[in-house]
Amino acid sequence: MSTLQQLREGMDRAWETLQAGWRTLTQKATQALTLFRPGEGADDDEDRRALRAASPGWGLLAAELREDDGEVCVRLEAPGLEPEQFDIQVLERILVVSGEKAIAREERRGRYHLTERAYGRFERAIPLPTDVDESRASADYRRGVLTVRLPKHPRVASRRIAVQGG
Amino acid sequence: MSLIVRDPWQLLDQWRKEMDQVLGGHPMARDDATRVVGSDWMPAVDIKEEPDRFVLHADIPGVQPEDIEVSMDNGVLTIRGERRHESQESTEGYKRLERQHGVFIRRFALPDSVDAERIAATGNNGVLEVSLPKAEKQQPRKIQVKA
Repeated sequence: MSTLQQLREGMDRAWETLQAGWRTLTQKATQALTLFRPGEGADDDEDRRALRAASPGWGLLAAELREDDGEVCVRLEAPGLEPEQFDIQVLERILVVSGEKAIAREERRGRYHLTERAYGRFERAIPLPTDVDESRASADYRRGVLTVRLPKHPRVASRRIAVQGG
Repeated sequence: MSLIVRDPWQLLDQWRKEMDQVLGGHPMARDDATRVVGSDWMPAVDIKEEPDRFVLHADIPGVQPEDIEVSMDNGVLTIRGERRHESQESTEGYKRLERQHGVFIRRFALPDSVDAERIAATGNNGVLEVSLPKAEKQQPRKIQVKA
C-alpha cells in the first residue's frame, strides 16, 4: 500500500470520527445554542456597551420536555429575567418562547475581566410531540427555570383503545 | 520533485482551533483553567471590577440556594453547587433532555486585596451574585537600602 493510500484511509477514518463527534455535539448542544440579539437600551452607557461588545452572541438555553397521559411539560433554563419579560406562544405544534435578558443598569462604573454570559433578545422554538390545548396552558418562573405546562388537546388526551378478546 | 506529506493530525488540530474560534470562546466549548475536574457542567460567569469591589455574576438556573457554596482560600474564590433533578417526578416520559444535572465547580484567582470577611452572595432568578469588597489599601512599605 502506498503512503498516499495509507494517508487517505487515515483521513477517512479521522473524518468519520469527527462526523460522529460532531453529530453527538449537534444533538446535545446546538439545539440549546440560541442567538442573542442586542436589546433596547443596550448602548445607553459605556459600561453596558462594553459588556455587550464583549459578551458572546450565543447562549445555551437548555430545555427538557416531558410528556405524560394528560399534559406536556416543558422546562427551559433562562436565568436573569423577570417573569414579565417572557413571551410564550403555541403555534400549531411548536412552543415559541422569546424574551430579553437585559443588562442591568448599574450606578457604579467598572471594567470587565470575564464576560461569558449572553445578553439581549432571544427566541427558542421547541417542537411539541402532540396537539395541546393552549387556552389551558400555564407557566411559572422559579430560580431561572421557566416551566410551561400544556394540557393535551381533548382529542388526543384519552385515545387509549382497549383490545377486546374474543 | 518532492512530495509534501501533510500530517493529518495537524490538520485536525487546525480544524479544532478553527471550530473554537467559530464557537467564540463559549464556556461550553473551551478548556478552561477555572473549570475543576469532577465538574459535570460549567455555568457562564461575568466578573466586573469596580473601584471598591469585584462583582461576579454566574448563571445557575435550577440550583437551590442551599446547594450553593462560595468560599475564599489563599486568594482563590471557589463557587460550587449542585443541580438536582426535580425529584417528585419519575424519569419516564422525557422527549427532550438538554439540561445538565450534577455538580459544578469553578475557581478564580483574585488579587489578594479582597477582604474575605466581607464577601456576600445572593441569588435572584437563577443568577448568583457574589460581591467581593477590596481590602483597605495598605501603605507601601519603603525599604531603605543601607549603604
